[in-house]
Amino acid sequence: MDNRKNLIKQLSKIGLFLVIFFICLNVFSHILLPKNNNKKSGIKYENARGFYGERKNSLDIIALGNSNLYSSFIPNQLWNNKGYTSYVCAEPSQTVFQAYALLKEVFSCQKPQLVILETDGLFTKGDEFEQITSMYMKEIFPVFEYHSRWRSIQISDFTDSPHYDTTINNKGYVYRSAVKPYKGGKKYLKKKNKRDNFNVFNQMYLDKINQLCQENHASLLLLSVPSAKAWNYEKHNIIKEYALKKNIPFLDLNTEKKQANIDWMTDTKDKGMHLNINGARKVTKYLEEYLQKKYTFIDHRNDIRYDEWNRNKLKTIESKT
Amino acid sequence: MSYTSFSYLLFFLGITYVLYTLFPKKYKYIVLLCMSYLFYIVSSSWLIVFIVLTTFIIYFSAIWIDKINSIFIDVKKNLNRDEKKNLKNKLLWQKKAVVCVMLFFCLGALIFLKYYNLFSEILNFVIFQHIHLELPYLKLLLPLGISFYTLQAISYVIDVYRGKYKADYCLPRVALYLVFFPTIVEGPIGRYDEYAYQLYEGHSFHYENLTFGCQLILWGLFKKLVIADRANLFVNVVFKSPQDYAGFAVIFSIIFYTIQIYTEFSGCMDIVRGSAQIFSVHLPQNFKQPFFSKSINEFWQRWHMTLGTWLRDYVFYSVSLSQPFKKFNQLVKNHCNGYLSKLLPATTALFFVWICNGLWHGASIKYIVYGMYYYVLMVLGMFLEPVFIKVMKIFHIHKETQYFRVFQIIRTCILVNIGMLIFRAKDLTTAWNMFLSCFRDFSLQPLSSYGLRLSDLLMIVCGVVIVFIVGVLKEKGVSIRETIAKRNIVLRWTVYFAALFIVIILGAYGRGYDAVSFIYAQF
Repeated sequence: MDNRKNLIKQLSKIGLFLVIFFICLNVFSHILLPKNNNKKSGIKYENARGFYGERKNSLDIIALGNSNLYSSFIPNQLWNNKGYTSYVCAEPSQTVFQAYALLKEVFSCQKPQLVILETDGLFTKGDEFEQITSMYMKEIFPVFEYHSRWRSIQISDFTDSPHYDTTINNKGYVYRSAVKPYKGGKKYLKKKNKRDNFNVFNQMYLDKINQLCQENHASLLLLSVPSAKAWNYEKHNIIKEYALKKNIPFLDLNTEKKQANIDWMTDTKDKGMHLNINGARKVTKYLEEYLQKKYTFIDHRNDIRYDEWNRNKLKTIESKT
Repeated sequence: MSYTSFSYLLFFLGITYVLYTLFPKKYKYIVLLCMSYLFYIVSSSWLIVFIVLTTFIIYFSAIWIDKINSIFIDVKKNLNRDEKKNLKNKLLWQKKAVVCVMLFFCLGALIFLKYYNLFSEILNFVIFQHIHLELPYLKLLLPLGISFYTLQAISYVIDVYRGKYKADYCLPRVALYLVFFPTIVEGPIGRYDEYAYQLYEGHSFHYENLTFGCQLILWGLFKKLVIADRANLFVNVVFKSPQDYAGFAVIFSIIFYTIQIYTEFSGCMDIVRGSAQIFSVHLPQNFKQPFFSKSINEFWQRWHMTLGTWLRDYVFYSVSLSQPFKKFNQLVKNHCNGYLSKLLPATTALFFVWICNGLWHGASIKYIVYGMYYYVLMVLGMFLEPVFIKVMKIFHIHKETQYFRVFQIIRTCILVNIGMLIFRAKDLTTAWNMFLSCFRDFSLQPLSSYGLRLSDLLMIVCGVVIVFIVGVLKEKGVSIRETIAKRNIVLRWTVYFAALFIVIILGAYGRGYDAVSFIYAQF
């Protein structure tokens, strides 16, 4: 009887300890969570989170992916030529898990008609289980993401609620002007029947992204932007197979190089890995036509609610943010 | 799977503990065994084949040796003295043959996978290039923890051979001894009689072991995440381009590396021992405040203790008790004076210990020199001891005075730091150049140029002070966890929550910090 009583006492202590622990985690999360979506506030990769500052439900297109994407797609050019609003929510080495988490954030304030997912992130290698666990922990308790903010903590962090209203001029695109040619020729796209393999977790989260898009009435487009170093035919084959199976459009601008007209001597900033501004202009140009042909977006250029986009036109793409 | 990851701490350890607690006592070992294999597969996939094969090899080798021993016991009653002696010799050879076969496979796998490229490089340079042959370079995968579990495997069979204990006929127990998930990555290198039975017998829920285990894990996380990974920022900057730095920058980078490797390795051991303790398994200590050592010899009795004792038991004793060595011993006794005949055999046997120590750390000439560095220091200490005693007498220095002890500790720390320089530098030339650069250009650049912020530096200093105070208390025999446990609940929980949130908030993980793998995990 005594043993039983003792056990109940010990288990209650453990329970109480955990309850207090989770309360403290929540309190610290509230304190350390950035109160704005700008760099100064310490938000994670602010360039990908500028969509928070856009007027609610004003974005037509959201693009997710890694550095290949933010070097290739220029939302301001798409606006200038077609009047579609878009935002590039791309982060360096973004995994498909991070893309999923970010998409959930996007849907909390935007209703895009189209979600573009750049496919290179689907092949990121690493401890996937840890990446997923860590992603959820950071989502539930932001203290794990923003713990380093203790250095810049202010009194307002204890009292204010988050208010994300900062916009980014380049809408997530990162301007790169350097030219370092890729001299490997067509080697990287030698046609092969072999296909790469999806990691089980990557495929699971690709499915989840697809499902999330369906739930939010958005179409999904799988896109592979030109990258001589990161892309190959094995990757193309597996994505193509998946896209056919799930009935999702897949646009590979590596294999459709002729249309995108990429010149690896002038259009890359680092020997074939990322595109520079020349390459990005070509890719966006191609996407403009593709999107106009395949989807029905409204041209907002004459809509006064989108004046901020017209004003933004005056600010050059060649700015860092 | 890293011991500091969410997936290990929350899921792997958590789920294993829940399953272990829920399973009936008789079958608890199955939980540990299955989860240990799962841990291995997740971390090393198909390379699990190596550890499974090693398990079978040592299991059957030990049983074979046991059978040979039983033959002798059964037959000896009916034999006369000479026949007994003959049979004993014959069976001894058979036992030796079994040990050799076991060593061939277990040690052979380790030597081939870890050292093939080093030896082929040496052989190509010394022999093959002269006869226009070349041993190819092979891209070999190293199974997780092979350097640790191979030593455990060998110790089990040799102990059975030496008659320390009998062979275990329970295969799951032998398997669990080798693959137990907290110890597989970095040790400690346990002994069969110390913890195999603890692992196998089921333990019921034990509140004190659970809480003490969690506290030890937290202490380990503090050392790894708050101190080691932060010190790594500075260490990496200097060691990546050592030619750009000199004077204080190099001196501090060496000291910071020593801090990093100590807090990281001992922190990992705390996580490992804490993880085992929550299952009521008590693992041997690997560190005992090594930086309070007064000599290099003492340092190695306090640093990576399980490796030191393993080398002592299975290399030093094996060499010392071998027939050729006994003959050498006799020869020295006959031809040398008392001083030399006392020191030569010991220093000769030590040579093998330190060669093995160096090689165990890695397949590179640098690590052999690292072992030899300590060997030379120890041998010099032994040979020059009479000189030191005389000098101390002349200057009236008493060994027991506080000042002299402090001097000895500082001297040992300096020598250890030089050893760490050899250990960390890219190669021997870099180590030598860095050593020389310690004595020139003492200008200091702003902290940011070393990849550190002032707050990071303060964190490291505060962390080291806490580790130092804890070390002093431990030296005085104070059991910190027990002392805290005796306090009232408010004070106790305040300490625990403070520690938890210090690790969560001040830990050098996530954005802005590179995830640093455990240094010893690569061995």
